[in-house]
Amino acid sequence: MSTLRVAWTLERAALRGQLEYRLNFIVSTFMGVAYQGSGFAFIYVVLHSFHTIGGWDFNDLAFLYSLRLLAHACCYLPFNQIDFLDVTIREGKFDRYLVRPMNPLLQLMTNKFQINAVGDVLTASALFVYAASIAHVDFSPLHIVYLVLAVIGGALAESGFVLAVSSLAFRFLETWAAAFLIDNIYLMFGSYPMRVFGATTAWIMTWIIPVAFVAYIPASVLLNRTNGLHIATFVAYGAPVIGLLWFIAGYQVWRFQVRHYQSSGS
Amino acid sequence: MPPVIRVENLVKEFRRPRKQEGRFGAIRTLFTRQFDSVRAVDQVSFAIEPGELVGYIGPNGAGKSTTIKMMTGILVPTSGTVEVGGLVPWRERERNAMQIGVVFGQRSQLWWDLPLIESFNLIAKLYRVPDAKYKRNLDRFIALLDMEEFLERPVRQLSLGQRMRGDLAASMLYEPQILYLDEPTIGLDVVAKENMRIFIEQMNRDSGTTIVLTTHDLADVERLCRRLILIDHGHVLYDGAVEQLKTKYAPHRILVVELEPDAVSSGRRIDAADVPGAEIVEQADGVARIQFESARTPVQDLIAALNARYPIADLSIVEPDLEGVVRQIYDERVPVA
Amino acid sequence: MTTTIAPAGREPVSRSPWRDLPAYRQIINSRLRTTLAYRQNVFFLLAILVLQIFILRKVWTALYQGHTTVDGLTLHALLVYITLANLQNWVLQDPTISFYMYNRVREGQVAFDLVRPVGFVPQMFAHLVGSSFATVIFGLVALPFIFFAGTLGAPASPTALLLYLASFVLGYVITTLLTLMLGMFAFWTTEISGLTMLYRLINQFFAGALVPISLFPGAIRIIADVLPFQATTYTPVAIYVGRVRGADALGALGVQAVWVVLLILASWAMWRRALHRVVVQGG
Repeated sequence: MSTLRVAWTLERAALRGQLEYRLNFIVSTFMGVAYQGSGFAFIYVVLHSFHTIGGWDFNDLAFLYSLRLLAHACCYLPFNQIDFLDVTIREGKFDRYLVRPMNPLLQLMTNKFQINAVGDVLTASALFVYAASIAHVDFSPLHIVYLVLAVIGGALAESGFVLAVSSLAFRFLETWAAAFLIDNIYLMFGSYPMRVFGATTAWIMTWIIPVAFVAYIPASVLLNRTNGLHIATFVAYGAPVIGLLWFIAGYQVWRFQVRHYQSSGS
Repeated sequence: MPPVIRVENLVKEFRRPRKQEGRFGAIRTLFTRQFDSVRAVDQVSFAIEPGELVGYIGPNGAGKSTTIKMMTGILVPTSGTVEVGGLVPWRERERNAMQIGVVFGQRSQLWWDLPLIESFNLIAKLYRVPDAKYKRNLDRFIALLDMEEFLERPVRQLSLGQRMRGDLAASMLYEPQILYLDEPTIGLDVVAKENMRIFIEQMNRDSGTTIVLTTHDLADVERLCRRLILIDHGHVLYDGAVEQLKTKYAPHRILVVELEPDAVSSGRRIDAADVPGAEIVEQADGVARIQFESARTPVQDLIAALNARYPIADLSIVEPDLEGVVRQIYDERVPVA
Repeated sequence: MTTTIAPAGREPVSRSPWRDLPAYRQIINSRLRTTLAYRQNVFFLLAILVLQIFILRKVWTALYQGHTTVDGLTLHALLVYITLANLQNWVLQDPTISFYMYNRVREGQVAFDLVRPVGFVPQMFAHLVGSSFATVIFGLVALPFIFFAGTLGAPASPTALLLYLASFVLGYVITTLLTLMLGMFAFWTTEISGLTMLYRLINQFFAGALVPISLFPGAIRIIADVLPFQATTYTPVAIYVGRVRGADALGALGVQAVWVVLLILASWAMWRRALHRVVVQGG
């Protein structure tokens, strides 16, 4: 617990550091909103003429999209600095994390406060409130518990995968493009019903890259659409657990890769 | 007392991607990737006793940073042993971190956008320094390093010298028993350099901190260290006292002899036959530079011989400086392909 | 800024536009090489392109269920549109130039660029051309994958092909001018990565890479029509698949030409202000 308290102190310091640049704070928050909202614009525009995608109407899709955003924001808020692992390594800053009495991953996470994460959280929350009000979600107590766990599980599934891919930076100089690819896969494949992509892709996006567990599967449960799913219903209810397993796996990969850290030149 | 740092047969190999040369090299490597294996540190062994202040030097790419990085736990050795205060650094990174301080001259560990004092507060939290101890050390360092006037300024606005003072203080706030200094005086002016040296000396003498110093500036070593480890191509070339290095690699001294003005005007020159066991390397305007080996030709014999035959106005002996000695060692080394 | 006017009757120093050609060739060449050197990243970016085309094909196929023609486009024509629009949009964008300019401004190297005899704006233009060469090479490498992920098809007619080529060139000039202006923001703000990302998203959407502009509803359609982005991608590709043809196509080319002129003026004005900023504030 004391470690987490120190981490929190570092995070607050990072936020204070960023507040030095007030204009950037505002601009970046706005960027976060625009970035996460833009995918929604596509759905809005096409459903204006076509009404459904793979049997899902606008309300359902809005709910799916907002659930993905919510999970993504919960992943991005703490883990955004992972995207900068390659830069951190190249600039030699990772050396410092290894000579301090704290988990290097926690130090990386608290290195800088990524302002656009605030934009992500705002967009996700606003869209979720809106979508939950128009979609036919059965908010039973059990479903509410499941919803909370599913969002956390979705965030863990995404973080675990991102962690595993980003830790390639310990072996290769630049990995931002790989991380960008993963980010795009989650954004693109996570926002539509899996059946649209065909059985093979749906399988890959479920069992190779845990995209379906982030939003599609939980949304199907909450919208009572489990009969249309490509996996068994009990697996769908277990989505949060699978997310947790992915995170543990991702963290193990990270720990393994840290040992191959080569430091930089000089 | 057992050594505080023990390094045995330490080896570190790096794999580096090979670049394709020539026309369309970039395109040809589109799908292929070859690696070269480089041994940066090769069978290095040494031991450092508590309270020592050791200079660890070598030319660029000699492997000194790599050794330091293995001693601090940043890098995992390919083979061999490192033990620091009874710990294997990379295996028990966080426990090792508590007992060491690290200053990289090129990279600050301070929080760029925050006032200097806040960095100190954060370091104290990170290393769990009790309040009373923190306050005591902070006050002491502020006075010693004269940091009062820029404590409240964001680090990014500090001069290099001020920032280095901050970095040095930050690495000592939690009283580590070992301090690694990697190029701590690089880019500093003469005054700032001297301030750093005084602080380093004081930490070593008063707190008994063991200090390992890597530097390009051999004046640092000459001023601070009694012992020196010289490394090149991943091998230890020399490990011992600084003074001994000079006698071993630079046995020659220079005797500078200035003749009386009358003798000069009458065109007298020192004859080589009059200085047996020595060599006149230069002679002009009545000043001669005579090189000799003090172990074989005692300097008093030489002076006596000269005094007997020539009117001498002034005499002085030039000792070799470390810079020259090390340069000589590098020049003589066998290049490795 | 002062303008030097050559005294009458005396030839000013050679002002031939071809004088600086070797310098530009050098810049183009080095830019090409740099981009190729970072191929590892480009492969990932290409993968994003291929996946995006794949997803759009799947989503549009699902959308078309129960429809044969929407807004005058068959599913096949629409998929060709989507594939080509995304490929073209990808190949002609250079996301790195704004970072390049930003770094040069931040590290003060722009001072060197400014004192070189070759103008700064033409230098940046040459950079963009060089990186376009590189992305075209990458695009060709990706073509087989795009063939499987999306749908490639012949142009609607020989005339459509000719008009497409003309429109493509104009679209390229517009894209480059826009990118140049984006890069010039480096003189004013440090938040260049967010800005670049935002530009990428806005451009992608309003260029019609995801949805043909003709399918945009009401107000969004009007916004798309008054922005220059549609002239970079939608216009040429819609001509290619025959969605825009005949007099409409010629009109669209005219609109593109107007945009070229407007953007040249705008970027010139922006450059003057940027230069003023460097001179007055020292960057």
